[in-house]
Amino acid sequence: MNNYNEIKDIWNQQGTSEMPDVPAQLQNKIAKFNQLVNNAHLITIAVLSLTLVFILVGYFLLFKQHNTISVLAISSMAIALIVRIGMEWGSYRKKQRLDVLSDTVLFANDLSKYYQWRMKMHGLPTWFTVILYVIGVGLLFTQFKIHLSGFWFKFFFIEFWVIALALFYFIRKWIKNELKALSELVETYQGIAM
Amino acid sequence: METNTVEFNQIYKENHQNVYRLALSYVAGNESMAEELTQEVFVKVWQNLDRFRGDAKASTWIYRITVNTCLMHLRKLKKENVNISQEISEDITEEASDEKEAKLTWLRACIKSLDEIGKLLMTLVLEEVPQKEIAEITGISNENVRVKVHRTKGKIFKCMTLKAKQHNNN
Repeated sequence: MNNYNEIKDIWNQQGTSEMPDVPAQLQNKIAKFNQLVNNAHLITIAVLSLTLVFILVGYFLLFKQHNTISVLAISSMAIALIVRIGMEWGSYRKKQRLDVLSDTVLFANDLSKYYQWRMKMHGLPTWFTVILYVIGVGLLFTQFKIHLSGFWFKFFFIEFWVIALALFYFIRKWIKNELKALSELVETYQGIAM
Repeated sequence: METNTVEFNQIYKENHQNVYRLALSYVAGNESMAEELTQEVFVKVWQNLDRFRGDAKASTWIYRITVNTCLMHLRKLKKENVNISQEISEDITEEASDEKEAKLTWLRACIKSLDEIGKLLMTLVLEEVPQKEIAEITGISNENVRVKVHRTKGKIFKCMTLKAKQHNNN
């Protein structure tokens, strides 16, 4: 088969249905597009911010022993969350700046840069925030040891390590998959942009 | 707001079919994915409606949005770990109810086998978008579009011949 018209005929067999009215589902999507709640980055930012507020409020209102170690612990956790919020905000802003009306080459180039940036974020910065947060929680445990009974301390201590190891395993796996997917995307977009 | 709605409805009616067909070929005939992509395109059209106004080549803009939305969709496919090739059977002869339908399925499979820019160029060509407009949509020079389209057509011919041979052998 080397006749373009033959290919064109095959293509043209595709149904040409009646011009539809704008479906309700699309109208709903359009109505919602301005709502911040539709953006995954902003949802993450909201969740992380709430966690930060709970931690700080909990510490200053409920936790009575404000010594150096507990301050260090809370600071580590707060810094980890703030850095993560900053990363999400950066992603949100960069994504907002992608101009869907650009030509394909330019757009593919921008997408490639955006995903390269995401790859960087999934490297050291992500591990930095996770480790800092875990250090914070670990430091808090030294305080729990003082204020909790032996049984409850052991219970929370074991629980902490189980969660930390599970978190480490799943985050590592997730980052590995994410980096692989992003790397393939960057390669594809760079192929177009060249 | 009312003017926007009227204008949008007009754009939707005039371009829905083209956008849907382009999306459909990009996702190898998966209708639900194509419908999702089409809706995403029109949400973006709505968002950028003010930038359309007074532009004589609304079709170029809409195709740009469609092509770019298709490219962005790759991320979603990877995230959901969807392999489009799973959506389309290699042994297509058994599935198609008649020869015409079988050939359309071959064509979609062949387009699917192209690289991303090849897929998009071939679909735009099949939708009879003029070469100059394709150059404007993609940002590739006119001459380069001509060369790429020529090569892409060659790949499609080769692929379709192979599918026809396989079909005849079965």
